[in-house]
Amino acid sequence: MGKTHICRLRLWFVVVLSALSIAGGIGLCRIQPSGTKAGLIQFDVVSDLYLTSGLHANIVVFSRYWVCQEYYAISVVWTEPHGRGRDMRSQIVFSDETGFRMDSERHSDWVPLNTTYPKPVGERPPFRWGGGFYGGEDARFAEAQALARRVYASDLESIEKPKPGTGGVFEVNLPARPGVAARKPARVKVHARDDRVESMELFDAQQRPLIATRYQYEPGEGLPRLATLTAELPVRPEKLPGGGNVTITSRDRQWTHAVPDIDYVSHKGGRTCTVTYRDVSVGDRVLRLPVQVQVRRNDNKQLLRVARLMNFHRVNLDKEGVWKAAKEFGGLDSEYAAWVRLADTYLDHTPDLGPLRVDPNDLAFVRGLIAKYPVWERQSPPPPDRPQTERGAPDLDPQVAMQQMERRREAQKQEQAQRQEQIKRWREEVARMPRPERREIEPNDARVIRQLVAHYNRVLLPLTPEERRELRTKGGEIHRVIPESQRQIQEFRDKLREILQYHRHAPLPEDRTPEPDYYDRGLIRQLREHFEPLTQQQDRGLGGQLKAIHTLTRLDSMLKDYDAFERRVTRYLEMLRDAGLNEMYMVGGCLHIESLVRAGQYEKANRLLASWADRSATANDPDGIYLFCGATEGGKTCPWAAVQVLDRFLRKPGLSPVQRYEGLALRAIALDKIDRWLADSSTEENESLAAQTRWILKTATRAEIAQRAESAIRQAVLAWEALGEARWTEAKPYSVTSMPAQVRNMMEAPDATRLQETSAQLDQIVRRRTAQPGPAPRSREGGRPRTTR
Amino acid sequence: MNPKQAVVLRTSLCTALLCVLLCLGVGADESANGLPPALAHTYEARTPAEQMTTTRHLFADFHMVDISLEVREVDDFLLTPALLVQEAVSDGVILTYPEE
Repeated sequence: MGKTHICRLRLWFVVVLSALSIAGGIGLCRIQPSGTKAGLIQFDVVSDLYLTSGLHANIVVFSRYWVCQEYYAISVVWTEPHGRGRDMRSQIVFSDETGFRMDSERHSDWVPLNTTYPKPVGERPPFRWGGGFYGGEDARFAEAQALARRVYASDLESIEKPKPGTGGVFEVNLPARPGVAARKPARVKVHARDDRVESMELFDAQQRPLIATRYQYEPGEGLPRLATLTAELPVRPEKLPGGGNVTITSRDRQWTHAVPDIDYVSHKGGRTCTVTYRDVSVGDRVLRLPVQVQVRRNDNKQLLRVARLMNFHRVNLDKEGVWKAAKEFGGLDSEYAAWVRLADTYLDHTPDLGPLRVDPNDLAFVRGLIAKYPVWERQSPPPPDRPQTERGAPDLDPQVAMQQMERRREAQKQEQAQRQEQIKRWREEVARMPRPERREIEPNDARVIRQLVAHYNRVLLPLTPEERRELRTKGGEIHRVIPESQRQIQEFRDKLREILQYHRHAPLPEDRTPEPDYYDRGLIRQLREHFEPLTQQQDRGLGGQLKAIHTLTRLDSMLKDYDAFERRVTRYLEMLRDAGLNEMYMVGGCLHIESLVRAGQYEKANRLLASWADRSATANDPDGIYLFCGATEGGKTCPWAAVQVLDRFLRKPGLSPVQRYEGLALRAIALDKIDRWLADSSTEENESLAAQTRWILKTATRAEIAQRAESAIRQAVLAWEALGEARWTEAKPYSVTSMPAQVRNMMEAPDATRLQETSAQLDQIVRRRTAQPGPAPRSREGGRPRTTR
Repeated sequence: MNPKQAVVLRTSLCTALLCVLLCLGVGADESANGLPPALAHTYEARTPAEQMTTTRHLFADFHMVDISLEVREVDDFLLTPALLVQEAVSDGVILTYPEE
């Protein structure tokens, strides 16, 4: 065999092996649905977020994305409605294989400023947040978990290709993957047909389901084209941090226990996530890309969030260029920073009371000041009589413990009845007690008292901004024990506060919002000229345009140019309407109407209210309307605006009895709230409430409101009674928001639905109005709304 | 069946019956104690450490946690479009849904 022949033979081997590997590669690439490398893509996203915890009804986040196989960047340009703690705090995010970088100039007290977290980021720690606080930087763990759960075409190599036209179910154990620190799925179960995956389930090492995905394809020949991906995510185990080490001391010994983390769950009710895919032209190629993501609760199908992806196009930028583009798009420019300064000065004014003119350590002076304005000392209720109920640890035998509890319950009932009688007598005595006359605090005294309260607060809680941030990273709670040496200061501070609450004090000149000076008026006009064209600049996206409109409405308010304000709000509502953001139309429109009311522009507010309520009632479904109107009790939605929308909405035909009842109940709750405002003399002391009541009284008299409230409650109760079986199955008055945490835990009380919480509120109103004191609806039975007749 | 086999069978049946009765008895005892579920867990805790864990569970304010968990879902959802598109423009990745 000649040398040339051997060379030819080697060449043939190489050619055959190459062909086989290419064929194998083509085979892998044809498994659908799988990705295809496509360079750097830029697109915009509008995310509609429905919050169920009662913080806010609905927020919309506008952001721009840059994504390729190796890295991605996100830039949040705007959150609607803006302010009042609703903004998306994460502003700019960049992630590649080396790190997760975040920046937020607007919220630097919440999100670390220009910080990179190196990868791997490690395990997500136990969830330490509460009360609505959350550090956005923890999103890096969500990304790590998503990457650790990815499935690759190479994972499915061992699957035998089913015969054409047939399908099969295959199970594959997933090996560890280089570059992925802790791969979460250990096993995948795939239902495949031809070259496409019909469904896929992932399980972790303990065989717990992680996700079940179903794929639907466009009908037709050729390469399968994914139409929708539906993923079901189960309720997820969650760890809450334990209590550290706890030492217990008994009579003769002492021992220490480490309190372990608490087992809890997130994603209650599970999640169903549906992703819609479409052909999108990007440069010279057509890519199959996600265009909409919708997330619902799995158990009750409640819509939680929708993201719409749009304006896809290819860009040529390197990593640094992408970071720069993201900063430019969502960051703060000099004009916006100037606007923030003006808004802080002329709209969100914080009075500067100047330096303290008295010596805060002059105890004789402070005591004299306190004596000058005597307040009615709050009386403590008499101590309860020594309980006769047997105490002590329950027996270890559950039967005996049960009998003990039964005996205690009976004894406690009697004790409670006695105690109630005692408290009633005490209240009557207190009501007869003489009280110091409420008087006007002299302006100079009012200033000194406020200065002293602020000074003592600084002494008692001397927190620098850095310390506040430090406290936040520990979980957002401030626990501070006041040392004995500062007890006197604390006592003075509390008494001075009571003086401010008990007596009347007129606003000081420093409280008045200043008028813009000549220089700032010029600056405001310049800024109006700068932002005006930005409301129509297409490359800023809808979020950037809304940001410009919002800025302009605030500048109009500074100049008290309410004609321009009204025009811009009309334009703003048209933009939301055209974008199909119907819930946001309701929320954003209501906030602007409230701004006009606060400014005393009742005629303009009423004009806007009528068209806004008409459109809101027409364009929204019951869920959207009731989520918005249900926020009146928490103070987020103006009740008069809610009544206008509900009046119109309830005239719609086709509402089911339960839907109609819920609308009537919410209307009754809103009218009862207004009725209480009008009857309460302290309403005038709250500027915002006083403005709203004055506005309402321009349209209706107090007697008319009282009559409407009475009638609305009666209608709602009748609608409830007419529900039949659904009164107790769907609309049972049941509230967990009013239940102490310990009681909820002890009873393992299930969460209440929105309708049950609404019924519980109505029940409370009926109880209050019929003057029959009683406990709140109980977790198991619930109270029954009674008619007011 | 010889006598030895009969004895084995009888003993086995009696043992099985006894087990069933015992299980039913325990079940009845558990269900009849009537204590609120979470409180019952604290009684069932055998060691001081277990009692501490169940007591801590009893006093935790999960409603406050739920509010923050909702905020976390919303915050983490910001990444979802990026991760979905990244899968679609990456070679060899099967399209699925990211965690959030």
